[in-house]
Amino acid sequence: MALAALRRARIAGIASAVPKEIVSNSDYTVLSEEQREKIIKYTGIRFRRWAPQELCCSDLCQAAAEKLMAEMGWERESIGAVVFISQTSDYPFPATAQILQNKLGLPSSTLAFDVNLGCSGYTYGLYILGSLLEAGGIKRGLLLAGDVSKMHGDSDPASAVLFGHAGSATAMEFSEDSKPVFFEFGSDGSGFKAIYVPAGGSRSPVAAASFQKSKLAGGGARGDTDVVLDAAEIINFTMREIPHSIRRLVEYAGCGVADVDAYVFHQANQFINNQVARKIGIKSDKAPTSLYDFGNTSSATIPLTITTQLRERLAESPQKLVMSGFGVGLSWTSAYWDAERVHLPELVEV
Amino acid sequence: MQAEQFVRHFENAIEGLTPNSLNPETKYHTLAQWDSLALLCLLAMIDCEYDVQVSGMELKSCDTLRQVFDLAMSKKLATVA
Repeated sequence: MALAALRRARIAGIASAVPKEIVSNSDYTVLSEEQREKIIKYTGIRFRRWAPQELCCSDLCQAAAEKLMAEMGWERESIGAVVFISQTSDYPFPATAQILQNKLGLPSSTLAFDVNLGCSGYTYGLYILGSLLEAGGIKRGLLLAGDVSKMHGDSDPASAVLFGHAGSATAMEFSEDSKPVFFEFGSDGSGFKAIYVPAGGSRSPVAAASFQKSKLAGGGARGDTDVVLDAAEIINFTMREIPHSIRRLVEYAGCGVADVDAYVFHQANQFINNQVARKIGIKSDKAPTSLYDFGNTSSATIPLTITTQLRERLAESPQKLVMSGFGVGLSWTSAYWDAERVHLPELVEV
Repeated sequence: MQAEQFVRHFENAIEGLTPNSLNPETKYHTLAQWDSLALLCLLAMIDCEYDVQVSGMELKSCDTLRQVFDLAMSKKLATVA
């Protein structure tokens, strides 16, 4: 585990975008009605946004970025970096960040690259982009994070009711007088099979057999192009690492757990977040949730929760926030942020 | 007594169980309430009450609640040692 701080980079604005189509877990007929209601109660997820075939994650991030730049009055020429964090890029290559540089009308001098991360991606991205800004050569940058993943097959109840689609855009800028943003990181690749897609990469290229689905003991079926999700390993990983990560972080930031106004956890499911809240010793109402309406939107869950659940509070007064992303990798990053003067446009629907 | 207390925690953790209805020799995976969500609730309860973690794989070697309790205690001792 590592600790770090950004001292000359500011988070200036956050926007989120979701598809218009709403799907309801009440309509998931692979499970009985009783099973559906039980899993909705456990996960906290009733609805999810779902993208049509032609809508990519980059489209949602682009819509969020357009809205954010317009409301903040940022000239496109002033932006020097685009970091796209996603597991659902437009193509195997090139990087989607270059495509977005062009679509957003950003100058050819823009530094642009992709990062393959999911649950922990947003907080990771804040540190990556913030570090570029701190180096001094780039004054403004955009962090674009989210996923439109359809690799969780409808026929696997373990994952089908969890995931929704969203994209986000975060504006960051070099600043000499900003308050520090503190980070705590970690990786545990020994657990990578807790959340992964077996086929489709170089290790196991897609073949005809990859699409054959095998029946699962708990009902439903799954093929090798679908996500494997071992909930028991994930909950053990989360309980082992995340409370400790957060406690280390707030100590490093020089404050106490109770001093934080809100804990914005990655939104995997409500049961896990309730356990993390209990273990760090906060009431659940200090951990806002967007799960009911949006489900797990991968690296977009933290910005989506901030823009939909904390927008009014942040407009009224500065807030001490802890953001913690954890999951696929396995990896995690927690960040402490004194949030103030941050632009938060209304949710964009595409 | 400690095993009995473990059973009470188990009854509280799993939705649909009646208090004081089980004992340490209960074969938990034969209960009507036992499913994949109950497994996660059990793992969380062990972490919460005993500050130790057992894996889903380790649980497969346990038939009774007493065996689960003994597994949690052995792991607890191993972390203290």
